[in-house]
Amino acid sequence: MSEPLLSLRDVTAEVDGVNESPSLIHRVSFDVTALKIVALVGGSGSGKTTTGLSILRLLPVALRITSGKILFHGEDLFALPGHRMRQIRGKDISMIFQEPLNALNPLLTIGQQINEVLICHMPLTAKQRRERVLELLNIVGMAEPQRVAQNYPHQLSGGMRQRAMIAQAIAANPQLMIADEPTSSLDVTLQAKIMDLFRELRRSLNLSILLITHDLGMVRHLADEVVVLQAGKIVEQGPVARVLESPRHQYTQQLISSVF
Amino acid sequence: MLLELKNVTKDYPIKKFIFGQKGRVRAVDNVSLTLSSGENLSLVGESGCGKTTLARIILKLIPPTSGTICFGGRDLNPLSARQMNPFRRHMQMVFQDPYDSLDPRYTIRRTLKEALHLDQTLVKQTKAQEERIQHVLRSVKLPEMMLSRYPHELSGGERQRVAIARALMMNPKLVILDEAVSSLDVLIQRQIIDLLGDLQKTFHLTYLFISHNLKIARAVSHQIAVMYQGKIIEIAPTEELFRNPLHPYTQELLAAAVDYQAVESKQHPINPTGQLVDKGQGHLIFM
Repeated sequence: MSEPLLSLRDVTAEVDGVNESPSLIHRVSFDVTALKIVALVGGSGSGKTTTGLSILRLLPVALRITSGKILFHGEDLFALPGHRMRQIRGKDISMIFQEPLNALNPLLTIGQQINEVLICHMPLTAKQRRERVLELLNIVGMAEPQRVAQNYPHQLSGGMRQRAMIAQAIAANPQLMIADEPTSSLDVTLQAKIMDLFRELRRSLNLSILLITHDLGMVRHLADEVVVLQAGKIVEQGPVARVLESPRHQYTQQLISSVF
Repeated sequence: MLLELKNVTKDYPIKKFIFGQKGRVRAVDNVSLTLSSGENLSLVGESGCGKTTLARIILKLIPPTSGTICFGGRDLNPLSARQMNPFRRHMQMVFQDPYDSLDPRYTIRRTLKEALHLDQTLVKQTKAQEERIQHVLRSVKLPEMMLSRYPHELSGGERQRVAIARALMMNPKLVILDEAVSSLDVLIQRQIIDLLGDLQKTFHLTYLFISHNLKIARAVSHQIAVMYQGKIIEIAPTEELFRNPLHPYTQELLAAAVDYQAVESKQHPINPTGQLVDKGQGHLIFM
């Protein structure tokens, strides 16, 4: 088997400066192999987002990784100097968030925000960048890329904002996208469309996705592998079909039976 | 009949800045509905279809452009704000995001107590008030120590329980739940839906449940009404709708909610002179 794209090994995160604080995530280990969609599931507070943020070294200052390694192409992300990490963030690994209205800058147009990513990570001329912005908006299924590029986030609907954020996340051709509850704030018809877009992006851009969600219905229809977190610990992991058809752990069973 | 809506329509004026033209957008279009006591109804549809506007009209938080709303046989339209007061205690609303709908500077006790102000006879009856608070708090399965806490100290599920408790303080007949579980994770969603079922029995409630998710609507309602562009385009008993969705938009919603399948999005043209046609077994479709 080929080397995994991303491996977490015994990653533990704690609140900094508090003795004997319970760890937020405890010895979390899993792999994301190329072209796979891996789902990280659990109830609120189970450590899903903490895990996602720790991969990009974006944890709030009060939280600290106390042990473990995160390897990206075999390189330990924690050992990298800050400027090297900034090259990876947004370029090789990007992230999208649950609420695009909070994640997008209200003062910049969609086009400007995507352009920012291109300036940081791509050796393109201004003209090429303009074309690339429109191309990206087209890839994520925007009907009128020209107009959307000039719009501010508040002028777009929820579904379009989410697409704009995805366009930003794939702007620099990343290998891995971390999607933190990408559809929770959308209604069901839009959810299904965003899931379709993810499948499409994986195929056309060779993208691997780490999908953070609590919706096992979505996992069943989208992901290849699933990692179940409860209170910061992995309680079950494996291929989606096996885990969802015959869950071993009581918490996984509970999650499955909660899906309407 | 607990609640009866007849031909309710709501227009909002819009200004088009470019040409300075005035127009209007019809948020709710000629909606007629009836709710019997104990018979929960779900309003289902995508964002922007007019579900929440309709809920606000029912509570008389905004006036309809035309149409009548009867609650317990009384037409609410001509009532003044003061005359409306005795009705308010019978109709309560729970909102999507309990973090926004609870006052961050009020303790839970004060939030619950404030709801009792609608009842003049309880003023200064501190003991009766406290008993009521304790009783409702137990009913939503929250421990007593929650009373001295503030909303930020509570989890999302606990906050939504407080919002439900506040709605129940005055013993309402109708509770409107506007996307009340959408912001919660699946485990908590399931708990809250189960709780709503228990509360319906203890408090003899009727729910008007607003959601974009047909699967969740199925778990709480006897009837489901599907809204599209301000109109009710299909209404049927819950299981009948799942067995036999007639309108293409309903089929699209079902595919998305149940099978996570995106149907190639189509505009569903609405016949301007159309109306709801009875297909038998209480199943009505707009055509």
